[in-house]
Amino acid sequence: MNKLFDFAIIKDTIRRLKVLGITLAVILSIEAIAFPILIYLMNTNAVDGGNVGVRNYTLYDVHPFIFLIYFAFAPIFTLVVFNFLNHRNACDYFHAVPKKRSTIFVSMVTGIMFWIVLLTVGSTLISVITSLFMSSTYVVSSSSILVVSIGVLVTSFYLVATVSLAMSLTGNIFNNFVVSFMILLIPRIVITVTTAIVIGNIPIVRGDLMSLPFIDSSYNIYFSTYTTILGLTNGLFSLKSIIYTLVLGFIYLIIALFVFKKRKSESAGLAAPTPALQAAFRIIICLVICLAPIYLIANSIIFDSNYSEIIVFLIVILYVVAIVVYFVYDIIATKSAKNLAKSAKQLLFVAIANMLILLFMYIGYNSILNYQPTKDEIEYINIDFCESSLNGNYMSNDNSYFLTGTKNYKITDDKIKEIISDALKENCEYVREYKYLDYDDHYLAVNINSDGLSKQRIITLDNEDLKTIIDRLTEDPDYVNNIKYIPKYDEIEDNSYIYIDSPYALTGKQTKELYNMIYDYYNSMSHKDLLKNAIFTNNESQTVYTTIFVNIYDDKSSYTASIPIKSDMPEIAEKYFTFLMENESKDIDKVIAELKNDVLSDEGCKDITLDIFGIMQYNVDQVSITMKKTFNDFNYNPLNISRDYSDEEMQSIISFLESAKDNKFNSDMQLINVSYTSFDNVKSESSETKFLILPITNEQYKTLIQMTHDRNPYNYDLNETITSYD
Amino acid sequence: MIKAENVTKKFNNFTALNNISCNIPKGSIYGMVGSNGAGKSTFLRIITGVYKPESGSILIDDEAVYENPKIKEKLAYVPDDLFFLSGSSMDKMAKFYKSYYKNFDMNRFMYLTDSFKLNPFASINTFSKGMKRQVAIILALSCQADYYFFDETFDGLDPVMRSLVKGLICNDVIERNATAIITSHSLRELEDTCDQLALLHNGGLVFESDVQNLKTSLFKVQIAFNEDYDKNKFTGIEMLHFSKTASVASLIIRGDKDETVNKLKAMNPILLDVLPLSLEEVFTYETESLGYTFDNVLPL
Repeated sequence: MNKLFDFAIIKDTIRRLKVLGITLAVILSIEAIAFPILIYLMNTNAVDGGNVGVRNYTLYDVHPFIFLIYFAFAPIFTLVVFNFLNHRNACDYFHAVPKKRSTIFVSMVTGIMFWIVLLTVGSTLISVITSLFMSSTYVVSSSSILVVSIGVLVTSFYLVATVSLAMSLTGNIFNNFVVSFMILLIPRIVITVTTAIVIGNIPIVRGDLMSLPFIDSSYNIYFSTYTTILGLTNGLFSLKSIIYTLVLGFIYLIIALFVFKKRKSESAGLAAPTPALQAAFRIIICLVICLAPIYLIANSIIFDSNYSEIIVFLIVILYVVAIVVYFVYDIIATKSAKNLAKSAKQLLFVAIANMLILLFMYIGYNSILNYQPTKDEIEYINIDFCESSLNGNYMSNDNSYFLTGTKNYKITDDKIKEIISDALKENCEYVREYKYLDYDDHYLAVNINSDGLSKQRIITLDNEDLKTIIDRLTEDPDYVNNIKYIPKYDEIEDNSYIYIDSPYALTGKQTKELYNMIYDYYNSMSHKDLLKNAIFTNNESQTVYTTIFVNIYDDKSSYTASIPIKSDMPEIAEKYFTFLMENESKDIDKVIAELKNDVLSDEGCKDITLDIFGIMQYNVDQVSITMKKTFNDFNYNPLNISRDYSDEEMQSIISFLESAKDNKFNSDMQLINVSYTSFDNVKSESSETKFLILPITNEQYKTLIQMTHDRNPYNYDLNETITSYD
Repeated sequence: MIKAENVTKKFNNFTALNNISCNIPKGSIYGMVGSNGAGKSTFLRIITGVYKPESGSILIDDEAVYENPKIKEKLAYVPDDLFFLSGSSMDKMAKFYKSYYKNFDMNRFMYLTDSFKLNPFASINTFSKGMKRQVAIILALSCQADYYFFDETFDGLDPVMRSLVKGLICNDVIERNATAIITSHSLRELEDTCDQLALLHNGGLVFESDVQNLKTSLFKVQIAFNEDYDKNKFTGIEMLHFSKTASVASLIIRGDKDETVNKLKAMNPILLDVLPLSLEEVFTYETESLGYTFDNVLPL
């Protein structure tokens, strides 16, 4: 150990990076303080909007710049420290000093990591401490602090190892960059692109559900950073990605150490230590460009057999581009055009590599489609309903909370296995013949386990089969018992966030009261009923008035439950509408008096807009009245007032509203939203829009419908609509 | 002692050193001359462990140098292309050296810095080429090494500094029995400093000898006779060069001077003058005897 770590070299490396390190530390510190304060200010405005509880954030949410430590700082530090490898005089100097090369390498890496640890830990502490002062509106998840900061350290280590390897393999700054990116990105790009091409042609496989380390790009934190920035993926740091990145970092570090030791000092300033290595770089660069024509060949010729002359022409052009890049890269890297003739011969390797890639893709394609285990060959199935689509309503992981326990449940029901097996076979043969798959309304995301292997598939199946599966699962007490009930609010007060999807503002207290009513309602159900009523329901026969979303989080993850308030929950719905009326109809007498005066009077020079529409969700379009009275004369001559509705009609509406204001809401009534705005032409001032929510009887509602239909007779069948309110 | 045996070094297809063998005794100042591209710097880089030879070996005190920190601690190398840490001052470089070389003597460093009248806290980037070379020499001498290697070091120094540096090197050699290897492409630079001189050409060691021996073993004689004669008259005398203009011949002779002069006197010449040779002339004739034209080997 003493021989690998030399304190003097470590100290010297730390000193050499001092200016850069301090500058970056200042930048990170400013960000670590600013972002928590910014989030606090944003959340302060949201607290009064009917939301309850404190938001939970990860360290990454409050300290987003932390990713720059591995993304930018670690490579920059490495480039600075190992820059001597690019200059003959510096390289000779460091190779002449009385230290073993392994000692120099490891000690320099240690010096770099000192700064990385300092920046990571320091900025994290600043961010967390600042967030503690903002804890009235949000908290930072303690597990995320650990996971994110360790993830940043590990990924920084990986970057240091990779860049030092690239610098040991090359001798000028241009190639330092090129080979660094080559090692960091190209393997993953090739795997991702070729996998995406294959999976893109096989609709029964979903790339984002495939969790193999070599295929799933979320394992590689550095690569995932790019896909996250591009909005293609979510989430960077997890235990699996940290372990994978750490192991890869160690492998690269060991290779870098070996190469550094073997590296000849005279390589400094050259593109690569040997012509063979430079040839390898050239070939790899060219191969990446070749992915574009490979994509076209695979999609249009191999998997589809449907190509035109334009496609062939494009393929040729893209290969020409790849060849040009091949030569241009070499000229820039070696600063010489002398070897172009020799390097042209090595294009043969590029051609062979292209053919091999296409061959592997073809083999992979057929391998996936050939996987059609029979019912008896299937050991068990897992179904992830959060990633599935039922009855045309995509059930996202909005209900991950309820289904947390069911994702890994091993389904061994023979009928279900048979349905899945038959559907898979049908899907595969359909894709093989027609090259696509029509998902219709629903598909299931399943894990099929056979022969000790687990394969993820998307299975499309008909309504009847889907219903059979759901019914059988609902009758399976072991499955059903895995469904989780929502907890009482008091139990999750400190680690939850509840908000209501309603255009009408509720207070936090009202939201909490509704939640507790729902809690009581759900907890009165058996598991089976909960499954049927809360999760596996298409809501088609119900009216959904609004939805409450609950985010519940623990140290490991966060979960969502989306809870609709609908017409089969009359007490809860009534409470919800009561709250709406309380909030929106406080000054009802005053507003109606004002409205009456403005609408019916021709004096005052005010333009009036009165909007009425129903707010029971499914009938929102069936009552929509906009009444306008505007002065279209500059002198505001009362004789030149235009009205959408006649005076009698307007009088009728006002009387209607006056009679409705004393109604007491019950679940048999309808609700209308009345909004009223006036604009004073003389003062050029607009009044604040006033809202009223009024309960009206079905009879009154029919009157309104009639009025709307008279204006727009083609909207709907009046008789059918009126009948529904009888 | 430095022992090089059959050292060969190649860069791709180019052979920079071809089968070099030499012994450099301890406590000597060894000069190496050669034209540009002769292999001098390459040879030094192999001795200091920067390069690894393709074949052959270099041993210092009977140990290989490459990847041997114990031996490298005894070496101090001043290359022709100097390196200093970016933005550093002499003081910072001294600290840097101290971290790598255990024997680095800060007192000696300060003394030498003062002697050379340099500012140890000024940025080395602001120094002239000659001053930078002085810095490199100071840092090397402060290492208190057993072996010093100076690659074309004197070429950028003014005569006063050159003299000072030579004096310091000689001091170390005498007082501490250090060994120094100095390369140059100018014989005149080395002749009054080095004990031994070697001539490198196209990667090969053409000629190597003790300087004192060189100066005394060869001498020039101008001789004339009444009768006609040619070089056969001087059979028995080791002659490197014979030229005759009219009746006067110029001979370059290797051997004992007194004995040779007596032999020539016995021939009753009408003219006999013994003239000393400059080191350059010695080298010229020695290389000619080996089949090289000196001007091609070491152009002036």
